[in-house]
Amino acid sequence: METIQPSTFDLVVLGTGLAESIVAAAAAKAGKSVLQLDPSPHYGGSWASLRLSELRSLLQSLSPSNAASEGRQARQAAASGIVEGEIWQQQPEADLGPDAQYSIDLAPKVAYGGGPLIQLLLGSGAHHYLEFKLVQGSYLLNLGRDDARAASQGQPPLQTVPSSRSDVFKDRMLSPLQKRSIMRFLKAAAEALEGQGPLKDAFGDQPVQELLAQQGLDKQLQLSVLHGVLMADCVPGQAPGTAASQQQQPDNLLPFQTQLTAEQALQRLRVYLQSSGRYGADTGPFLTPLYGGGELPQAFCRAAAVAGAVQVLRCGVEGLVLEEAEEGTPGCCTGVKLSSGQVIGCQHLAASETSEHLEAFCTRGGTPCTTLRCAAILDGPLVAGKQQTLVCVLPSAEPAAQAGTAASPQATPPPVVRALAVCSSTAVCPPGRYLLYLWAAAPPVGADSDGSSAQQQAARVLQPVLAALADASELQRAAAPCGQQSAEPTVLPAAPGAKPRVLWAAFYSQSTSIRFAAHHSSGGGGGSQWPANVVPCPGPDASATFISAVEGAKQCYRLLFPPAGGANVDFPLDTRVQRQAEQQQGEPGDEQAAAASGLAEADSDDELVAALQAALQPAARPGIEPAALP
Amino acid sequence: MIDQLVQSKLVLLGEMGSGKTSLVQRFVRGQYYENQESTIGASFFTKAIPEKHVKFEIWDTAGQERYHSLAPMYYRGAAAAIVVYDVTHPASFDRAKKWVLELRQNVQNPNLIIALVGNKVDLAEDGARQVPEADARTYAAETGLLFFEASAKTNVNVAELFDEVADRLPRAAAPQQPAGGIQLSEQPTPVPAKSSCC
Ligand SMILES: Cc1cc2nc3c(=O)[nH]c(=O)nc-3n(C[C@H](O)[C@H](O)[C@H](O)COP(=O)(O)OP(=O)(O)OC[C@H]3O[C@@H](n4cnc5c(N)ncnc54)[C@H](O)[C@@H]3O)c2cc1C
Ligand SMILES: Nc1nc2c(ncn2[C@@H]2O[C@H](COP(=O)(O)OP(=O)(O)OP(=O)(O)O)[C@@H](O)[C@H]2O)c(=O)[nH]1
Ligand SMILES: [Mg+2]
Repeated sequence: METIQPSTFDLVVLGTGLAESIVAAAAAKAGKSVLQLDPSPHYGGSWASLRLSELRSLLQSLSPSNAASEGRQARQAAASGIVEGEIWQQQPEADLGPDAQYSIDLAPKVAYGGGPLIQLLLGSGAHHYLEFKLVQGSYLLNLGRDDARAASQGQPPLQTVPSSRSDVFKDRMLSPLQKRSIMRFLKAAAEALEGQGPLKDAFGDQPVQELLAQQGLDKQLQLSVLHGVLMADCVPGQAPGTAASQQQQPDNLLPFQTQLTAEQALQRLRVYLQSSGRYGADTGPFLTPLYGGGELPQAFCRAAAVAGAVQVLRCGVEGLVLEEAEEGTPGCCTGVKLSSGQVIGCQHLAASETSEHLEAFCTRGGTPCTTLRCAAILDGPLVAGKQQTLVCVLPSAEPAAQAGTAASPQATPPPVVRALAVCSSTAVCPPGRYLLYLWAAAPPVGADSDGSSAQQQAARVLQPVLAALADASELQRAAAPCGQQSAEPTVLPAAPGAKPRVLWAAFYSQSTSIRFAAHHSSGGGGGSQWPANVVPCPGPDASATFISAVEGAKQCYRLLFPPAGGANVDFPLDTRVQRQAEQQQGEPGDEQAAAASGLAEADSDDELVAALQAALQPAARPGIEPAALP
Repeated sequence: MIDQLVQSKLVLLGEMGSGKTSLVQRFVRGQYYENQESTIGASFFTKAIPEKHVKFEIWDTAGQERYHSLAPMYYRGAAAAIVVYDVTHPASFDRAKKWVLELRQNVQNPNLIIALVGNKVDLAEDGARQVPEADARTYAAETGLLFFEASAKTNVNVAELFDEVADRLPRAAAPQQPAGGIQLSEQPTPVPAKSSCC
């Protein structure tokens, strides 16, 4: 290992995950000297996109029989936060195509086209390095409904959720009454964003679904808004009635709780409005990057390097150099000792929360927060004719029944599952093969689940969902390492209306956000064991979008480098966009006309459409930073 | 087809100090600096060759390769790669071979054009040459690379190099990556106006 020059930096970053890379890019952009290290041979940490063979060996290294033999890979798995995993495959084994054409996300998410991630990309110049595809459809699959269970053979009954403004009007499953009520709500919300209208004070800190219910949205519409528009993260384990606010709930309240308050929901709505239609009339709000989500940390790393940051992969860290402080106060990290023996001095340290070097500071950990994940390879698209689709799968109401375990009285309902389907159009798999990702927040480990049942949690929760979306009947748990491949996968014609077959699936659990939450909830180290100049960067959580990661990264940066001039001083990567936004203000966007023309296709309620458009436009003009709410 | 410029991503690879930045400076600006500083902030250049209907987006490394940590994103979607070595440094030739391997392993584009360039050939006359031209030429022929010996300093073979790369680019604007990807820009894409019935 080459000696790293120079040997002191303002900031040392351990890890190349998304949040770490954003922090590195921001610090480098602000003129700090930055060294970013990763023990693995690739960028991305918990956020990496891997080849099929890489994902395979990563998961196989976790099985107990391999524990000793593959130490390096096991360490890599630990660094990606992966705590358990198993591989299932079709029997007889299917031909999956060239390994090198796979780019499988460890932590898939979608980006709001006008959301905070995109704004940071624009602000850092990293947008030059990436290309995106639009998510073409957003759906809801309610496994609690009878038609979902009945349709175990054919296509699952996916309901469209309004992901573009005109979707609402086109949707033939919505009654005119439903259309009216959702429109009325969206219009009022858009007015509320301007501090006007009947709902201007209604978006408080109550759970958002209370507000939705009060506004007369029926259950189906509530689900559509919650999951298709707001991408609410559902908290499993809060069955109806057990939640805090038990009194006088509207009786059309959903059996799912979200942590999203109405106020937060309003902010999301703003992002949604800035995003949908941004890349063409009638387009939805979500983007997914070519070559997979692993490109995002790489883009921020390059932006950091362009601003002078030094990056070294395959560079292990032996430990931190800590300076003892007086009794009772946390010390200070003055450097890191590399595996090569070299000691690098630093003023500040940011580390991926999965880093083993943070363990010592986690005296009182937060609740472990685990995401259950599945990456499956299919032989056909999830929705015919759509290349990128997003599905929100609502579990059936009977808890644990499908899990095959004895349901205890306190058993928590299964979680809401996100599904993202992508294919070779984003260069993440060979032509003729399709990727389907599933993920969900793990239900809290209750008294009823011992270590052994937790072992298979990802497969237990996600396998039934996989089977509902695709034909998993030929899938079996893989016993031994396997896999010969040919140059081009053979495509067997599927019966019309039949579900795509699952050829291969990996189930794994990724554990994140323990240390990040523990550290940040303690007010940035005050009163805990954390050295004042060390922050943990958040790993990927179970949410559907990048918002939480970006916000976490900004929070980390501000803890490391508190803004001197007060709140006006903004994040270094935001500035360029803001400047532009100011210039753009006042210019009428040609978007307005275009969006309106897209609506000419809408099949009803022309007046309402026009009214809605007029109400939405000021808020929807992209590039404008959200103003502080009154 | 009208005179439309095909945008092509071209990446530079090679040992530090082999002259990547100098070659591009020479090509794009016609300039040469005796003491070109080592590239830390990436230089990025665009240069059109209108008579060949090509507009190169030339990516220079941002220093990530210093510790062998170049992000694969760097060469994704590249139409061409120029791998530079210094004819007075055999180690830089070995490094160039490794870059060629890495490109072949990681770039999915089967039409990727790789040019191997022995730079600083002006020094060869002073007897400083350490990499025989025949060795490099043979290696390039065996591996299917374009090959040039060039000098950024005395402007030997620089225009020829980029012209040849431009000539070899697939004519029909063959997409190097899946078509229809969205490139972000500060201004949102103008929405194509739809014809309306009234
Ligand atoms: C495919 C592609 C790859 C690019 N790769 C690079 C690159 O590797 N390095 C590079 O410097 N520019 C890169 N750019 C950006 C490009 O050079 C700018 O668009 C160009 O410099 C003109 O900037 P501008 O006039 O739009 O001014 P602005 O975009 O406002 O730029 C202002 C300043 O920032 C610099 N700058 C702009 N974008 C970047 C960026 N991504 N990274 C670093 N500095 C930037 C510009 O050179 C200029 O000095 C890339 C663009 C494309 C399309
Ligand atoms: N004699 C001679 N010197 C050259 C030539 N090309 C570049 N140099 C010199 O070689 C040194 C390195 O050139 P650069 O262009 O910075 O090399 P680079 O590959 O970009 O280096 P890094 O940015 O560090 O990777 C500079 O001092 C140049 O002046 C050449 O053709 N002949
Ligand atoms: Mg250079």
